[in-house]
Amino acid sequence: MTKRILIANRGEIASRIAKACRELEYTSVGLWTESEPHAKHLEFCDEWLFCPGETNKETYLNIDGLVKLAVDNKIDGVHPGYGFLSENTDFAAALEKAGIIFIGPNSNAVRLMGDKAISKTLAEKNNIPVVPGSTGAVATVEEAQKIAEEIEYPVLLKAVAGGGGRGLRPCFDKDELAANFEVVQREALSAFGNPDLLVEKFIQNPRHIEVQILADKKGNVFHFFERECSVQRRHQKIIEEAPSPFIGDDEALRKDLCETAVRLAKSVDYDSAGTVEFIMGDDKKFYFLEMNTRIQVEHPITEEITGIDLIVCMIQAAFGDDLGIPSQDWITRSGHAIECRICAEDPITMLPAPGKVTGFETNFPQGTRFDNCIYKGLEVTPDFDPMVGKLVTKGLKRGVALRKMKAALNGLFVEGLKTNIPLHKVILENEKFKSGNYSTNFIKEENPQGEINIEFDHLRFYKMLATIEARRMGF
Amino acid sequence: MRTYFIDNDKNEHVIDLTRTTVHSSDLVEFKFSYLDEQKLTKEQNVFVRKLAGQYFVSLDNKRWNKLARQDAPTVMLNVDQVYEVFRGYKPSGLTDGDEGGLKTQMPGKVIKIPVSVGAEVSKGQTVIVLEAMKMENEIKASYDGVVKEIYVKEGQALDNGVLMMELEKK
Amino acid sequence: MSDILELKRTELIEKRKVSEIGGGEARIARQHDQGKYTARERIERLIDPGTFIEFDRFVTHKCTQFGMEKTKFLGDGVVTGIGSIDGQRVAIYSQDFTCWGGALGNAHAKKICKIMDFALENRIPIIGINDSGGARIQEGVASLAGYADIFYRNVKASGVIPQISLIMGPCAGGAVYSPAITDFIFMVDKTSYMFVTGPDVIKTVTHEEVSKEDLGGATRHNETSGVANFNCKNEDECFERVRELLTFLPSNNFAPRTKSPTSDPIYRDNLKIKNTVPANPKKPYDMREIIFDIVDDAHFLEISKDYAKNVIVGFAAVGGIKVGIVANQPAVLAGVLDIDSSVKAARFVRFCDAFNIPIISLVDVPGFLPGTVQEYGGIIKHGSKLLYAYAEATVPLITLITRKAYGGAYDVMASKHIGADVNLAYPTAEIAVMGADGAVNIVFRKELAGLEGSTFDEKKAELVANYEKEFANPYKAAELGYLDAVILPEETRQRLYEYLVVLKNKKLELPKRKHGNIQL
Repeated sequence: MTKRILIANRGEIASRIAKACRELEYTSVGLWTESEPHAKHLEFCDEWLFCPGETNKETYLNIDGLVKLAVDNKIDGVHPGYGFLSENTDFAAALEKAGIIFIGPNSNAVRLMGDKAISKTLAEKNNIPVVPGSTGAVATVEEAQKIAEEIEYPVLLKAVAGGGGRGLRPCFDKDELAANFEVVQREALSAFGNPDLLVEKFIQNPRHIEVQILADKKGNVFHFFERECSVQRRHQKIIEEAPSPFIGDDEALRKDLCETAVRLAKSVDYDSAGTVEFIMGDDKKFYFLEMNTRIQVEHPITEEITGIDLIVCMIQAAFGDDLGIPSQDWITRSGHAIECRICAEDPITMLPAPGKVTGFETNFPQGTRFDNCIYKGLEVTPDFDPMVGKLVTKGLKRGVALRKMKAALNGLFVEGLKTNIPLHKVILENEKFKSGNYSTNFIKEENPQGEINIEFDHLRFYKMLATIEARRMGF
Repeated sequence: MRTYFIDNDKNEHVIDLTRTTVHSSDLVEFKFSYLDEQKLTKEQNVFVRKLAGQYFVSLDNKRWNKLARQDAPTVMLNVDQVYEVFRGYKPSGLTDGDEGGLKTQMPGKVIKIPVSVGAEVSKGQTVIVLEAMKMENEIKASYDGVVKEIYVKEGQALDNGVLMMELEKK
Repeated sequence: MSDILELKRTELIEKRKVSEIGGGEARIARQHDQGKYTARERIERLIDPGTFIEFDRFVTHKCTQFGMEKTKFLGDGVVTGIGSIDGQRVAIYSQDFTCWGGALGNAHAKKICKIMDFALENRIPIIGINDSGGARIQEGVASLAGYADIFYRNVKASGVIPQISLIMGPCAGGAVYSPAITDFIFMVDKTSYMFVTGPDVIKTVTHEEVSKEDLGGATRHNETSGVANFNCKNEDECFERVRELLTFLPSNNFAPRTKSPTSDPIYRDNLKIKNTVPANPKKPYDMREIIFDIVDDAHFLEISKDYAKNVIVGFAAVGGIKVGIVANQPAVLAGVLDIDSSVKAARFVRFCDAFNIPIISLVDVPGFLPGTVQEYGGIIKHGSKLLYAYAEATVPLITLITRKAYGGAYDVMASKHIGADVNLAYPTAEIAVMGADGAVNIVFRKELAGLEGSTFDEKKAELVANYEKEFANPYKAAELGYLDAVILPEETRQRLYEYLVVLKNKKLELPKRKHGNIQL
């Protein structure tokens, strides 16, 4: 009897998982909901199950409902994708109780790594560097200065209750620290109602670099090299690359970073796909941030450079099967891959822009990968994630990957829906981005959205109207 | 024939198809212009050729590009703006401009003039109250502006078509 | 051999080029200078690109009087043919002012008649673009005969195929009768005019001085005489209005009804319309706001916007179903019916009836306009034209009383008794013989006699209040079954759509007769 896998997700990741199931000759079962009766991912599933409910809470986030569906329909394993219930220990526990495999890591690992404080402590215990700083709030300037001496300037004064980039001030020496201390306290009090401050090492020009981990239930934990995700805005990733251009040819650093990630994963007996996130400064020193205990959006670029299908492996691992990977050294990387997230949003404000797709066509260079859920007639609603596709290109060298991405972006036509394609095109022309040496401040400093040409492109409309009229004429 | 592109804020772009010439069974030429302040500008000839069931366009009848297949859409996108597209005409009732002069629509008596010359008025604000046919008519300003001139006074009986007040648009 | 073929081909291509020039480049330039397009440009801009097929391109006149044989124009000053507008086939003729000022001669008229016959036989709409100085004097009575042939066909086609006239230049003397008979007249501001006798003759006969524009310009005919239905700022706008109008019209009187594409849902939140009819019955409101709310995409094409503004007529779609709308306008003249508005509405109702278009009537009418002007003008005759039109109509009729419906006007505005299929009313409706004030004066004359001053005022106020409570509502009519339902404003759109869907198959026939004797 072939295994039946329920895909508890939607959009492009659901199609992706279905394809993996096909490869393993498992039966992929998708969810049919009333809010998305024409969802594209259902095209790739072998079976559909009707999932009642109008809101996400009633469908994709409904633990009891999903478990019942799985039990009633003799499901062997559930793949949660990313987002929704992918890191929900209650869901995993409920499935386990029902005797159904949760295609993800064990609950203990999820619990430990889900708590920022616990994961940080665990990292320190395993000699994994974390962002140095005070363990709690600092009461006085002197205390702050003392800690700053220990961890070395520059430091960051950070509001304990802060968020969204507010209540932060970098200080480059003790005088600046003294001068800023009360200012930030007042800011914190008025903005968040809590004047408590932390002192942390200030990473200048931070890079967001993460390592892909895949483990099985037999105790094997492998890394699949790193990814650089520093092109972000409001903490949303826009473009990801593998391997990190900042690390470049520094194989020693790469080895150190990846083995550190493996060490952390091993410490919690990790047994599925996951990602360990680090922050790296100009000085190439890296610090552990957090671990995502799920498969991530940007996994395709790792697949491209290693040639290994991570979702297939994830499913195999979950069922206790052999991954077919003899050793870490057997995993090699080749070339460079880059991914652009295509989202239904205003390219300038980057705010979600719901709408309807009236035309969709692709004219890509050879080897382009586009994991998407777009089709003519697709209605993007505010209920769901605005990301509608991931455009991935790969080349032997970074320059080639960039060249192919530029051509792919020029060959991607989505009409009727605002997308961030124009933003991607501008970023790809940006010198700093092309150099490969950019930090998470890239969007703020370079302001690529200001370069987007918003002039009414009359020539393009002339051509479109010409073909429409020609067809109407019966030409 | 004109095609109207109208965005959420009622801004318009108008493209005019001035001339169509069918050259042969597989070549047709269109002359397009862009309407700028009632004048036709940005004239361009666009050639369309059909090949293997697909439409190819050219601006000079020499170099050809394929275009993404689209049926007659009602919505088109330009970078960060989504336009509603109206082919052939702009539907009546969408936007209606009004002149600045307020005339009586029927014979009546001026009951109240709650504004004075030079006063700033906002769209929808009552500027004159007329009594006519046993009804109290509140005449409202159709846009934000300034009262330029008042030609009538309270208690005055008016005929049909009398200019009562002039507003100047801000 | 191939040389001969080549020669023959070139000959045709050359002839085509010549016919396109018409009266010559100089005259074309003059036409453009006046802000007018040439005959061919007008057709090009009006119909779908690349769909014009011309008839009788090489027709010339055969007149030999006054040396006419020396000048011949291919096409004889008019371009005729068939084209497509939004996929709908239409027949079209466009007079060419560059050829003898577009003057009509016998061959010219024959071309027009031929295309009119073609349109009638094949049941497609006919559009006429008038731009002509009048009859060709040199051709004598043959020109007059030409006109008459056209008028005869206008009448033959009336009510069978939609006939639309665009006046884009002069249209004077007898020529005006053709547009007058057609269903809709479009005029272009400042560059078009229509009159039977021009300013020169008027000056000599009645000694009145008046300019062409003043006498018969677009504004005059749209606002004063009501002869024209549309006043367009320029020729381009005129073409757009025609295209828009044609989307609401069928090809002919027996064509199956087509749906108007829309994404506007039938069931939607209509919060604005709840408050459109004001609480105070003395306060006017714009009936158009109700119309915009109930139709698809707020798209309402109003006909004769500037004439008899106290009644609104026009086309729209509800849930894709194309309808004609007749509505009183409380914001103008309190929505009374008078001579002009009755005739305007009556013609519209008869047009819709002829072409199988359902009619929705929105009623808020306090009565007929009193006064000697109206009485001497024949309000008796003209007011009852609307009554006749509604009673004669066999298309689906849906009536909605939003507020007032008093006296005879209640009867006239598509009441159930004269043939409406569905009669609805809002809770704010007031249906009675007359308003409280007048009624109390008559009914309670005895009670009020002898009272004076404040006692009179108090008693009257009390009686008025009682009367209003008793009669100023829709329920008396509802009790008698004269209303089919009292609805809330926000329910209007859904209800109208539901009724329209069922009424689609309505079949009703009047007793057989040649035609009635409508009081013209």
